[in-house]
Amino acid sequence: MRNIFAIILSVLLALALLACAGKQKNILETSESQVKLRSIQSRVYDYDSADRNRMLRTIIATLQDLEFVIDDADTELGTVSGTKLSGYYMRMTVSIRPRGKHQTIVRSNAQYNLMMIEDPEPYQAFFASLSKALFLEAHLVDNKKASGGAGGGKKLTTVAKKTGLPKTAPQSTAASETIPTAEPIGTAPKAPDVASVPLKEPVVRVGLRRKPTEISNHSQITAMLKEYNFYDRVRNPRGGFKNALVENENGTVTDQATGLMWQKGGSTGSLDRKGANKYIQELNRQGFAGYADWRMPTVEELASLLARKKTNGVHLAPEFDNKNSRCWTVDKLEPSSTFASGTWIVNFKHGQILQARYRNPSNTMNFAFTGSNEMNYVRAVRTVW
Amino acid sequence: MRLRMIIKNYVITGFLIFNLVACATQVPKEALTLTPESLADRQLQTRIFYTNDEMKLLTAAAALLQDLGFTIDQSEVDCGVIVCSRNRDVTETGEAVLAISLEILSILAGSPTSVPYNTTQKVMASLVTRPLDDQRIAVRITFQHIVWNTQNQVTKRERVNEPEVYQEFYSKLSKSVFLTAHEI
Repeated sequence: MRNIFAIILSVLLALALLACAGKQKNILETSESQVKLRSIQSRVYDYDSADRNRMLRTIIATLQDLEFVIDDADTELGTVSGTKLSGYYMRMTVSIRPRGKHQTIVRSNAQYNLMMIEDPEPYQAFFASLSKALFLEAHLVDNKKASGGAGGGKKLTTVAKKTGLPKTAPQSTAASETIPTAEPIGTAPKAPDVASVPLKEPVVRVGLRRKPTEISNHSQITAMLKEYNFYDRVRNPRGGFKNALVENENGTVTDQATGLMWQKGGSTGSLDRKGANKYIQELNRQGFAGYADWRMPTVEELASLLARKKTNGVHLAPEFDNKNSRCWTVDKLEPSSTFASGTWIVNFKHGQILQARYRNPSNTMNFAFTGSNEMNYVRAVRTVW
Repeated sequence: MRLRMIIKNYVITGFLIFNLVACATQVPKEALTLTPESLADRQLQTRIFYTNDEMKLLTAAAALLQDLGFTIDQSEVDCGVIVCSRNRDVTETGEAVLAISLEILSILAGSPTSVPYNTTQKVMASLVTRPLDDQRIAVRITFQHIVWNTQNQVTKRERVNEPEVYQEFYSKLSKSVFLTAHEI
């Protein structure tokens, strides 16, 4: 009896050794090609490289959030290591090094039990967590401003780069997507529509609705304005959304906060609804600024441009022309007995979201006549990310 | 004989499971993802002190950890990090008594087998300070532990989750720096 057990045990032992043998690696050898692995493990952040201490502290905080206990940190070397025990053993080393003045490369490598992790997914998850923490940090800095503290020189530049992002990336859900994304190393050089001018203030990114919809009442508009803190002279007079506008000097302006590219001006004259749609078609046919995906903005998108401060007589940032003061959106109003249909418009002169209604021909009473709103300008938009 | 069979079976099953774990390449999905629990953990492990003296907090924390029997393994003041650990005998009386009586039974059954029970525990902790602004500093400590049994096998490796541990630590720390520890 005892012998049988001994045999079974030794067979199992041999099997175990064989099974694991293939996984054993030389100290300096990895199975994935070195370059590929490096790109999986690295990201570039538009983060002031002079502020490495702040970056290291953020990495430490992220590792702590991910249930790691820090084993080692070295400011001079720019490395942090941590261990996570959760039934398994995971060890991770994160290092940072500057790339130019305004960028920081973050590299992480992780070990799971006795294996090096070469799968991209865990690294993606880690960088997503780190990006979130950078955002949290940004908020803490905001707190500091609110408390009126003396500037401790701890500026954050957590502007995300868009190059590596697929066009459809952030889903325009109701909640703010406020994650500065990291860009994998080795992607193509900057696309022309990316303005990577380092900004002083952290940019909070939001994904706005892009699909046209039907909005029936004002309270929905008010809720939307409150949600994104957009300005509206009547519905949200205290609002003030922080755009991150960059002029592209080709008749367009990119907002890094919303990932939208706008026409600096727009249509030369005011147009009715049909004319507005034709204008967009014409823009795409001509390939305005080199793009053919121009469209009419949704009310959320257009409202993001409403500035509390008036410049040149309109509630618009100085980056835009002031001529196109009242613009069409793509969002419709639900038809009622009085009105056949209608569309939401944004009036930049009055800093307000309004309705353009068309009379219902079957209504003979002719109460509501809002003909003055039926001719508006167009400011076209296209999605960058 | 029967007891011996049972024990042997356990050994084999355990061995098989160990094999599976050792060779598993699948990293758990949540391993590097922030979860709602992450936030709860952060609240559990963090306290805010109204001071701007990070050095004072770190010095006090290092002294306290020494008082609690930890040895400081590493520290980096620039990042506000202290790493420390402690080894302890954690023989839990109840478990040991059961194990020993099982062992005696096995001897009586004619095949002496020793039943493993937990004996050693290593606690590791990292304490990190982080200035929030020029008036507040957040302190976060995380404890984790590994437990070995009499046969030197790891039986437990996880983070310490008991709120009492953290509450006690921060109550001691706030006493030694004469500052109130505020929850986040």
